[in-house]
Amino acid sequence: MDKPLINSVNPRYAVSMLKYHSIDARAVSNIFKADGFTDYNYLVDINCVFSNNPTYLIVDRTCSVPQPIAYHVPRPWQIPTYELSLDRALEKRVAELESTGQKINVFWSGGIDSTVATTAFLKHLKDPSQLRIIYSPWSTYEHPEYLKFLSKWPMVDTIDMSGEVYLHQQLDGLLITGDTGDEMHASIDNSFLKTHGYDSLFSSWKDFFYQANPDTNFIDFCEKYFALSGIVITTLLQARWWFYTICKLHGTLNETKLPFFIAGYPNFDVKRLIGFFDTPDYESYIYFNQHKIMPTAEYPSWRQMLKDYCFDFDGLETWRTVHKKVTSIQMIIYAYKKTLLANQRYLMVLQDGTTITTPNLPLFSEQEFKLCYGSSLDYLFGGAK
Amino acid sequence: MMKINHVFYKTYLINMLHQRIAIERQSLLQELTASATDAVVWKRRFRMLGQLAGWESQITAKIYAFETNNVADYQLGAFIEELMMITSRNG
Repeated sequence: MDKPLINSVNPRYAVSMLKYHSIDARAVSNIFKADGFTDYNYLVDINCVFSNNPTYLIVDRTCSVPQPIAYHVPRPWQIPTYELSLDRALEKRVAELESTGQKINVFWSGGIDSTVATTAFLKHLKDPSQLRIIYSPWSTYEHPEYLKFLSKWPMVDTIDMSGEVYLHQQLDGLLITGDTGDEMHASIDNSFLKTHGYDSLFSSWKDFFYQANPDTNFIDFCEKYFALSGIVITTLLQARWWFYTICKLHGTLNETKLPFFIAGYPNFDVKRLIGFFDTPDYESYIYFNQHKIMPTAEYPSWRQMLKDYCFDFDGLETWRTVHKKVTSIQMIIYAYKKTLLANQRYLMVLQDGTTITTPNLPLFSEQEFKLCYGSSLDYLFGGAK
Repeated sequence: MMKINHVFYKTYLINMLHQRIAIERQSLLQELTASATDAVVWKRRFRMLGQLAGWESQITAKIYAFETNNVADYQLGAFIEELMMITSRNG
């Protein structure tokens, strides 16, 4: 392998690190813009259109936009060529993870994505004892009936992560979360919907973008960038799907969950952390079925096909009809707390699992950074493509 | 050349931080006595007090030991964020 690229950057220190490498950068909410990276800055502009408070770093999966920081892109974008049914796509995903022969730990938050992941494993795993379900009191608040339903499978392990368990637990095998579901279904970040309403999702993206940022170069860039999807993108919902699937798919998981596992797991292999929906099969299902993401301009219809999928298996009607998106931040809170309390604050996590850190974080100075790393990390900043 | 008295700044910063921590500790203690009959809340608040004390000593030692004079290196926002995270009632 060449020199390892970046899997995750702590956004708090990104601007400082770029400045130490002579790149003028400035924070835009929780992400940043950098001088000399016009196209990348346009991606930040798109993010600002879609969110009042852009969060999670942008990792371009088309690899067509030069970025100020050299990210590792585990699954570059490829236009899907085949279509699968929902059940078949999930079955293939389960088979793929099952074939590793490792224990499968599903982090079940009670939300739609992680419940679908759990349901798919229960439905398709040949040996349910390979499955272990990690939950917290928050999960049972979101989906009160499901834990009882799970008790039908006595061979499936369940672990409550609350109390002090999250600080000390070390799990073997794969760690699967419902992450990447929000990005694939364009449902991440509600601030846009609160401001503009659900109807706006079905209006033309071009008019909307032009109102937000009347710069023809920006619109030209967006047209070219959206064309890489291989379909004609007309509505805001499609534009959101494209942007979040392409630019946020890898960033979100690595920024929220990776620190949790890096802290306290000796030599943690970053490949063990997996977003359930991060697979070409599910991507192709959504690609050809975008009309199913949100069939009507009503919020509860969002991802109805997934709620139906769970209902067909578990028969729990209340959750199917009543459940609305609750942003469960339990795991994120655990992750922050654990890195603080274990004194394992980080600057970056590299592709090979190396944690880049300095001893006095959150205090952070150029002097200390240069003392620890000299110029050995220069290749990660600047002209990366 | 006049040397910047950054020891003064550090003392000021630590003082400010301790004030914030005292406020947090006070509210945790109040909740502890108010929920004396609720074992779960009591245990959580008590645990938080322990974690807060550990974090306080860790962060104080780091500020004292830090080498630079530049105010920007002392991520003030980060301290408050961390304090809020340690005392988050959700976790």
